[in-house]
Amino acid sequence: MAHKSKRTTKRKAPRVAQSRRTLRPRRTTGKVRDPLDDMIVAAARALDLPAEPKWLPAIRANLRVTLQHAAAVSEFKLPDDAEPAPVFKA
Amino acid sequence: MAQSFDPAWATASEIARAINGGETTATALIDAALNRIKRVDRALNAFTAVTAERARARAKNVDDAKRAGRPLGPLAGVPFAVKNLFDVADITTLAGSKINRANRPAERDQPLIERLEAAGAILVGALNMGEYAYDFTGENVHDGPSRNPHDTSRMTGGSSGGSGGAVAGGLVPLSLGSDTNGSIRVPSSLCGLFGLKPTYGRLPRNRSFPFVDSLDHLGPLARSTRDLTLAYDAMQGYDPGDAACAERPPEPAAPKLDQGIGNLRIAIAGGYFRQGAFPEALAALDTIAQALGAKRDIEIPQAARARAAAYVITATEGASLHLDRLRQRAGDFDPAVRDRLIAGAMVPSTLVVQAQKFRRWYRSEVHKLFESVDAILAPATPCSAPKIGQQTFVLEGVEMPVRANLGIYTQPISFIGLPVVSVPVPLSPLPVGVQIIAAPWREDVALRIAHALERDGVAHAPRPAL
Repeated sequence: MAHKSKRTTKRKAPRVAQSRRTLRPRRTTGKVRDPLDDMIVAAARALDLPAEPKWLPAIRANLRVTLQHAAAVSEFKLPDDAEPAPVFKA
Repeated sequence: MAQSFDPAWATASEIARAINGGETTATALIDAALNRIKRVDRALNAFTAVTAERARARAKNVDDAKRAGRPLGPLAGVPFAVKNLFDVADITTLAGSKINRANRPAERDQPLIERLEAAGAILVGALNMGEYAYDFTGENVHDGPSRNPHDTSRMTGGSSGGSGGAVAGGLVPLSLGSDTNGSIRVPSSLCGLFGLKPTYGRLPRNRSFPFVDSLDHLGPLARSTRDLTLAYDAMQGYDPGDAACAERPPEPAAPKLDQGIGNLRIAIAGGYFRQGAFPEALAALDTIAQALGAKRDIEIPQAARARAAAYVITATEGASLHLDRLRQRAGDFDPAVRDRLIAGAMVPSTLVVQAQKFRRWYRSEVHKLFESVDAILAPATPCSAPKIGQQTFVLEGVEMPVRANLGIYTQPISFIGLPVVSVPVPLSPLPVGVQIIAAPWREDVALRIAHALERDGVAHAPRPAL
């Protein structure tokens, strides 16, 4: 437990700080920052996940596809009392 | 028998019959299998571990039992191998990963291995697979790609790639794989095999490395429907170690296997299941439909959305499973798997709950279809085996990643746990599979149809020129 605590408190900040710094696109004229990049940086920080700059294009592409699939599901209207598939039995 | 019996290409039922009849011994058969694995697997890369010592000891037990006049099981002396996410005692369960190599060896076999061995079968090893089963190609950056016996420059399909290659290549007559979104049916299709994905909850999954608990299934691959059925019947039964395992008594399918098509009502999935299919997949579907006299097209409602929901649940539940490994050892993942998992971890949970709600609605709608049909036909894969390393293919005019899209026709079916047999259609130059989809708990219907197709020579596992 002590080991775990040490890891989350001491290693988390530098790694995320690095991710934020390196994931930020260069300030080039005419380039628009992809809004998913902000989400990836924030989520990486919140979840303590590494996100090396060279991984970003693939993470972004995968996240975009997954969110598109999720949107296709969400736009299908279900009644408020629709139950999720897994049902817990005590 | 002695002249025509080739241990490499004999079916499991032929092997068991030969051993029961005293025409050969389990020791001779296992030695032959181990020698062939040693010789041929260099080309196929199907095995990641060969359990030679254990297999020889088990073979001796079978031969001792035979000599003592004790009854032998229905799979006596049949060599088989399992995807390396099954626990095998004294072997580390890799699940296709580098990370798991540091784990301790498993203490006990996965229950399906125990049940097959109780029926007389003999485990000869563990098989290559896509990392953590997040894969449809059979490629693996750590162990190298599984290679398709029909053309070793081509994919086996995945993630149970070694399970497909080992059976299609004549290394074993029977293997076990797992299927979360299509990982038994895709390699069965690309390698030209019969594969059974049973109903969700039918076979216990405890002591196997999970991927997406709410979608994971285990099941067999073989070169004949009788072998598939023998193995399936031997593996049935409740196990409290798997929370999703149904408390149902075994329902043997073998007694019904020879009943033929009879009055079964068989329809063809239209719409989504014909979109994007390559000519060979449509040709295979038409061949099977024609042989069965199936003319009715049926629309599986919202199949594209079902696939989308399965995609979301897979990405997020898979990410949840691997979250700590991603934090600590991200660099040791296959990059293609890692990037998908990291993305999955970032999907809001609200969207996942919606996918699970949709899943229940979709299940209810598809169940209604089975009031008027007994089975539904659909392609297993959109195409025959792509080249190893091929990154994309064109589906409906859109360039798509192969890795994520070989399972477009399997995902909407496993999403609601329906039983499916994938049957091989031996087209030239490469085979391709067709799914026979049945109502929940009616594996017997799908197996019975597959067996009729095999008996009539329409579906069969082609022998590669290795």
